Amino acid sequence: MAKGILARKVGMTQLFTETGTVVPVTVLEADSCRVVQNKTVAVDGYDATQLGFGERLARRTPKPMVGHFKRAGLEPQRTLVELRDAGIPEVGSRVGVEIFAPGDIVDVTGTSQGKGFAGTVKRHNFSRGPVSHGSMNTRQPGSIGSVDAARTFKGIKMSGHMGAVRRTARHLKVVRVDTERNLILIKGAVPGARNSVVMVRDSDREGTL
Amino acid sequence: MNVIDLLKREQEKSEIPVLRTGDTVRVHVKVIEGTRERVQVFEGVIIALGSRSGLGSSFTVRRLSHGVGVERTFLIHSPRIDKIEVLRHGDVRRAKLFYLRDKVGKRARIRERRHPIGGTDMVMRREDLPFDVPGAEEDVEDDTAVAEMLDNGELQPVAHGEEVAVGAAEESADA
Repeated sequence: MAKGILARKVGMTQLFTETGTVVPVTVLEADSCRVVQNKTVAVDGYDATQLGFGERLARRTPKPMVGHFKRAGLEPQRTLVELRDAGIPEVGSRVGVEIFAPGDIVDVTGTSQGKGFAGTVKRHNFSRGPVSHGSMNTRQPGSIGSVDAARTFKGIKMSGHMGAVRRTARHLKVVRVDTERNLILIKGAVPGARNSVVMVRDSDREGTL
Repeated sequence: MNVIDLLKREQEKSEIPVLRTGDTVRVHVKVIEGTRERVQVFEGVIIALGSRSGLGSSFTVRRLSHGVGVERTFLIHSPRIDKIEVLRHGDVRRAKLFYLRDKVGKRARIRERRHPIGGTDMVMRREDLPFDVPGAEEDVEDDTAVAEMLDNGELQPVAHGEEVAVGAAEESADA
């Protein structure tokens, strides 16, 4: 059965282990994750558990959404996410950080930091040209195809919008779980900017890497 | 105070000696040998201070071991470091004493600072936080008070334990 929780990315820091090595960790705060709905094959065509996270003013929320939360006995929340194969938890109940323990292997899904319209050097790791001696192609993309083809093929790596897409960092280790402050500390980086909402699930790759 | 800062504070030592480059120090390091844990002493001159504040602060100590220069960099707040003793304050005019690497014998000496800056041996003290803090975020007044206390980073002169003679024999130096 899958475990999952929605959390806010607080930021990164480091922890000393007892042996004196330093571990880089991402701090996630999950204080307001609730079960909003259980979807079933009979009603919805598939089984899933809907989780909510964050706060939202009722008067700022569309009326149908307010009703949806009301059904679960909850105040409106900011984010809704579905989790498959999570059993049938009680609707309206709280999902706490205690579902994870140190040593667990998890996947973290979030929206990566947006980089805007990025050139080929940043976006596709192209090499840059010389920066001096009159060079005028420092960050130019270079050739985009042969003259013979008389066109540019699809899929050529070019400049364009980068980041701000859903990404999953897989196979990360839970270093510490703080139930008092509702924190999960995960080794390494996770997608997203500070304060963005991420989903933490037990990894589908545990034991495969 | 935000969560990240709290996590850092929790790991910081509440009392660390004030270190300056040129000081001669004895660093007591916990070492695990098989199942046994013992304390190893590394004595030498501080030739560089790394980051000076926060969890990542570090310093580099140089000593001569069997005629070979050995340098070790320590993280001040590492749990492996048991104790740091300042034996002697050096009178130096540089932040980094890397020139010592090219000097031997008499030329590698450092004069003693007779009147250490800021008085005699000092210790950086920090009052420990009440760490049961989830509620503290609501209690704004308390929170700022604590933060202020920390910012001021109380600097209290504290006499060191025993005076150790400079160049005293190293007891449990590295085997």
